[in-house]
Amino acid sequence: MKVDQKTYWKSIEELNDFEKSRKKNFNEFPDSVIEAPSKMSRKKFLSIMGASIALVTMSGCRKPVQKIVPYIDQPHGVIPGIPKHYATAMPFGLNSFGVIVENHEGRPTHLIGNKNHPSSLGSTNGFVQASILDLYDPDRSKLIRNNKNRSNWKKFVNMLSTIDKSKTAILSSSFSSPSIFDFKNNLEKEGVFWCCYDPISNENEIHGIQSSLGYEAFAKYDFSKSDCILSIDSDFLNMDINSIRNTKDFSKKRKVRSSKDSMSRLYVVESNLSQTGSVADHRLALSHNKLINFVYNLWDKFQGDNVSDTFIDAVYRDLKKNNGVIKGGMALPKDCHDLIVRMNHVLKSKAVTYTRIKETSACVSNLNHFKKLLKLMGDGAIENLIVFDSNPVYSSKSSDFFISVMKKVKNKIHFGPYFDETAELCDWHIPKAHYLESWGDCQSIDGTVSIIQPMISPLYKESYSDLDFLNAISDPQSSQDLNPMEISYKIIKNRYSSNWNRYLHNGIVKSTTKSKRSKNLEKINTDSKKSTFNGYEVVFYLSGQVYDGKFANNAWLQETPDSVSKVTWDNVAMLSEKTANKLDIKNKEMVSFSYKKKNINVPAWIMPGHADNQISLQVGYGRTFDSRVAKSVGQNVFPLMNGSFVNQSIKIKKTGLFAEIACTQDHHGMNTNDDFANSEIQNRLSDIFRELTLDDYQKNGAYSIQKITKNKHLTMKNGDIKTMYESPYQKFYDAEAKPYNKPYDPQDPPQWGMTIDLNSCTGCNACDIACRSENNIPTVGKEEILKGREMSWVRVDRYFSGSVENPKVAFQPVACVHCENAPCEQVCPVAATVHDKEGINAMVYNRCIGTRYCANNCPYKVRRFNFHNYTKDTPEVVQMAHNPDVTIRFRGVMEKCTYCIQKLKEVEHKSRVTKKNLNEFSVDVACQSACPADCIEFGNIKDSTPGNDIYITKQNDRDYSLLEQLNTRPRTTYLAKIRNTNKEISKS
Amino acid sequence: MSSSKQNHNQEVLVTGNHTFSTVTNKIAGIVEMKNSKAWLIGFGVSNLLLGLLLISIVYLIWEGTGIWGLNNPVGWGWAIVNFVFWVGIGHAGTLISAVLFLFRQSWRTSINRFAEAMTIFAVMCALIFPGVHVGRVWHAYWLLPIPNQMGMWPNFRSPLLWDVFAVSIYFTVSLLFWYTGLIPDLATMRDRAKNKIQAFVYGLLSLGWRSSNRHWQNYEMAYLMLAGLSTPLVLSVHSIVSTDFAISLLPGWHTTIFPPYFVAGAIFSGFAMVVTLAIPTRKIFGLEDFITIGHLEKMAKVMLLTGSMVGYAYAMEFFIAWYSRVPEEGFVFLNRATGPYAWAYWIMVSCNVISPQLFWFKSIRTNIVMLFILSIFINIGMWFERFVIVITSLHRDYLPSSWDMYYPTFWDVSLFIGSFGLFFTLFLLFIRFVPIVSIAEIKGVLPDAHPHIKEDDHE
Repeated sequence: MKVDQKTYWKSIEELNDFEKSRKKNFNEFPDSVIEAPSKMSRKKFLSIMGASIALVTMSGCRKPVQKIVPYIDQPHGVIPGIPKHYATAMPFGLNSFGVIVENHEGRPTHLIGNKNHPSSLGSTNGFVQASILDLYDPDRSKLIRNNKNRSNWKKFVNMLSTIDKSKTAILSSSFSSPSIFDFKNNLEKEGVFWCCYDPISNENEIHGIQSSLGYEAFAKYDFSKSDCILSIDSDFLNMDINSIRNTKDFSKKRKVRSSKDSMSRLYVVESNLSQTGSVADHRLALSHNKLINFVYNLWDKFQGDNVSDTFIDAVYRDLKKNNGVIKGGMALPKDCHDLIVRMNHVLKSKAVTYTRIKETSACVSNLNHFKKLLKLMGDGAIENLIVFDSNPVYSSKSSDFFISVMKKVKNKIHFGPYFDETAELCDWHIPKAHYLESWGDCQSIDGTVSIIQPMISPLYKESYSDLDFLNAISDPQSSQDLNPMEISYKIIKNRYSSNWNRYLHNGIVKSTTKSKRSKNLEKINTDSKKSTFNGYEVVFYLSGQVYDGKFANNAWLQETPDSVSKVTWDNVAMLSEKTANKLDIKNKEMVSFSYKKKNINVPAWIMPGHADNQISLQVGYGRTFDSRVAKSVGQNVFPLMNGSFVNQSIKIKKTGLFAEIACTQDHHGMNTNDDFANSEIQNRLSDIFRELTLDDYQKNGAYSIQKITKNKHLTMKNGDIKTMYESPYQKFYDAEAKPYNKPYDPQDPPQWGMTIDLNSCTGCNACDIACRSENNIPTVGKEEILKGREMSWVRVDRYFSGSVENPKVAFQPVACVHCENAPCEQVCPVAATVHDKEGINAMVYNRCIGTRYCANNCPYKVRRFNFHNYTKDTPEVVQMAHNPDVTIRFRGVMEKCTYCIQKLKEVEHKSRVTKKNLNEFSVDVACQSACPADCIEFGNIKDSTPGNDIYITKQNDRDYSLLEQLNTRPRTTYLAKIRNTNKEISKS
Repeated sequence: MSSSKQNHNQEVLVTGNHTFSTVTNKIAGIVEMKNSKAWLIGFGVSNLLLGLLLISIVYLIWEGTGIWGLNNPVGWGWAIVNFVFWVGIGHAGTLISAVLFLFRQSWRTSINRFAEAMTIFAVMCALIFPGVHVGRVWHAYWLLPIPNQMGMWPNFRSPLLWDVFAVSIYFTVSLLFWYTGLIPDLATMRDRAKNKIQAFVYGLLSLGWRSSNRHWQNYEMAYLMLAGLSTPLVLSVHSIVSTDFAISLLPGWHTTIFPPYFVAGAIFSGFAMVVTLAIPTRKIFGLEDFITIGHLEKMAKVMLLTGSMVGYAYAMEFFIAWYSRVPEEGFVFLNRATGPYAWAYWIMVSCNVISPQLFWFKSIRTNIVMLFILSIFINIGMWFERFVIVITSLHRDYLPSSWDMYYPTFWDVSLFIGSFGLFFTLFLLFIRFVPIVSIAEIKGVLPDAHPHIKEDDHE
């Protein structure tokens, strides 16, 4: 209706080359997305015209019948309908996460964190949750290829037996696995040059540690041992390889059970507003070079120099007083990390320990090795290049150069899950099996070794595991006639045969590496390298959705909104409002970045709290290989990188053209050009997202947040405070007979409820993706998100308050709150949404006719409607990822959070069968078990037996209901956020 | 015969020296004459639009409601706007025929026939929308309380169910009322029929009417009873439609003023539509003697009254939003007037509140061109009223995180335009097959029907 007279571009490619991309974009969106109705083709028109005639005989149209076939020979231990659970581990760069896999009739469907594994401790993050979809990715490479023609394993192995190992190089990404490490050592002995390289890695940190401690080591942080944390440009709660463990430890110190408790304080100094920065009690936005200066200034302060900066002053004192710890981000240069180690040493911090890399089986990314490899290749010294699960053509900082030297290599072999950008330029391509279908082992950052055991035999029969592949290189003869996994099974079995069953069952092999606190430091290199740069810096960072591009073909992750910007299906150029005004760039305007003849256009995104004079770009987007999801989403910014995280010599120009960005939350309280809406949001925010300072809480309890609703309303003449919302039916709700008012009796139906602790939520979206996986929620694609039709059952709302330069951020996960007095139930004309005696607001999909009245009347707007048949084109292999306990919803049906009713019924059933009380069984709903911050509690709210966390949290005085003035009496309530502010800083 | 010959208290309802036979010839002649070119063109265009409606519905059922611009906060869009719009238009007919009949307003006789026809056609158009806007059309019959093996009844607490009852009863009673009034005229048509088919069909429909005294007596009683039955329905239908909104707890919908405000708005829009249709019809078919400028002026007065009521309701909504101190409600109304949909709000205000105020001037009330233009304005304004109520309340409600914009698509628009196709197709057919002014009733208000007409002559 009212569309601005600007030109909108659907993708950046379209802008660069309109005609070409129009043809290419034809298949831009995943299969589950329906053709946009505006593109009515002639064929479609005719089919509809025909359909109008056929409509008369529509009664004959039914969905095709699908048959379920029973087992003829039932496998031992498998009972159809009852899932099995197995332990395995997901390798993730230098780390790995222990997981428990829910396996339905031999088909893995859902991942849960392994409680025994130190790097997951029973939780997961978005990448772990979404990795199950990668297993069923129909775009994974299925065939062994030689010069793009189909080949086979035998021919490949024959070729391998002819190669000269001393003229062979292997390029891999960083890994940590005892078995692969052994292969590496053996191959290196045979003369193979093994180069390990990631374009974005924590190499700087490791070198920094080396220069202070004298040896290469990982810094291992345990934030539960510190009361004061200073993060310098480190997004340790999100984009850190050990993010789950970090969040777990951090949130332990953020749990406040009563006003007598204390909590840790987090300072974040960073350039881009990260998830960790959003959680911080105090945050300082500095552009990258000023961050470096900050580290030097802080070091000066540690040395006893007088630094005239109240922030540094206050932070220093706080760190000293409250056993503080400092964490540096991977973008900081080596010298800064060196100083951080020294400062932590001065602080005698117990929270940081160091593990010698030599004692682990980790292979760390090394830029010098990569440079050497490029030189060797350029010189023609390399005859065979084996690219081992790496994608240098896409991600190399100078990909053109890489391609040119690659051409000088005679025989190029690619091993990876996709026939990707690098594979296309290689002579050989071997598909890599997913970790859920491979044998292998891996070591996590703290040294714990886990066995990777397959959950399913490889879906694509020609895909091989890492160990299969490496064995073929080192010993082609023995690999000739083998099937996938045969060799790798033998290797793993031999290695861990001592306690095989126990290792497999527990998912961990005992850790052997020790980590120590810093003792002696090397001499310091004294010259400070403070920067005086004054122009615009472009900083690159990993995407919370696609990481460095390896998850780019994962529709769940692409559709998960970025934690802070809430942008989906795109990468954007983040910049502050001030910088945008200075450069005359509008929000969503295409900004052109030119560097060394490369010109890349990325849409601008004005981000409150972003440092001035800096633009931040996410890597991992703009994949070009043939794929349903990854292709043409966002723009590849790797070519702009110049071997480091920061590039100060990029030319930035506005273009005057605008992009359409699919953002799931358009209003956050700081929108440019909408002061009217902003002021309203700020008015409501104190009621919606309740927060108080720790001092206030300790002094006055939660008085200030409990009184919010009433304060807003009328003060009567006699002094009473009346709210307009006091219900005349209060007596009805308070009646004894109501199930939620009865005293607890284990024989009564349980009264399910949830609390969400806003104080520990870090906004990471793990709950969202876990819910997607558990409840078969469809992905809808960019076009539908642009229309505002996202399907996620639990969304993480994000608001800003305070100043645009340094806003306070609020994260609030919102799913159906299961009102006892539900507005949706009353208005449904066909009674498709009803209440059950356990207090669940049940949604009867079969009965729903789709009037959408319930969604209109839902004040929380958590109901999701199937506007199209979103699952119509789901490929068969992706259908295997579905949870068989949850039905697939057809178009025209409303859906929403059910409190994972399938899990509740399973537990209730068990309790009935075993004749035990329900509270003897544990219930973990999907979002709760995924949450790495443990901020979600779920259970029977009536059950007052000790140890029932849900009962305890409901009694907490910070507990409040969202929109409680409406008297909906929600079962999901929130614990107010506490900000542990430092008075010295908040005063100034 | 001129006005001077009439009783001083009685106004002139039919001009042009008509006698009983000229009335019959004139009105029945419209049905009996050959198709005019104008009619054929109009019918052709209407049929094209009707085709558009059918395509839109078939594509909708084929593809789902996703073809519209709806999204997460805005679950109802043009379909519901159009539904309320058409139901509102359907109000004038019953009001004119039933309420004015009970109040013995004999001027209604000239316009009641086609106002009622308009009502029925408008309600038919309205009924399309709730039928097809649901996600699973093939299960829409679950809205009806049909006994079934599942033992499932609809939810009697839901206003949507009340809607089903209210609108279907209204439609049935309106249809019966219209048909009852038609019987004497159908008999006239039967008697004048020139071929067998006509004679048979009109004969069948006129139910053996022979104009006997007893027939008239029963007819008058039945008509009176139906008028009595329809009168509460005039108030109930739109009150119940308004509860679709008023019962919910959405700010901007949750308002007790809605039932009377909706009824006033419905009468307002209904009369505007009657005027819109009456002006060209009387011109084309030369009915100026029957639908006089006096009739049009009276309708203008009704529009002035109801338009002012609607304007009062708009003002009162703002007042209550402020007075109640409910922050969300206060915001909704400010958002209507100043937010992203302010343009729609101000179209609504200028068409519905400002334009009918011109009817204070007799010169405008009696100016055919101005009347026609203003009636179109009111139709537009009343459509936008529903747009403003439905969309602006939904698009920004309690939690700002869900706020979003709604933009209609081609299919939203095509369904609406298509519904006009259905309306005009039916209306044009009506003109060709049924006397558009009640012959029997209009004779009753002719001077000739006055028992003392001869005495007046002697005066």
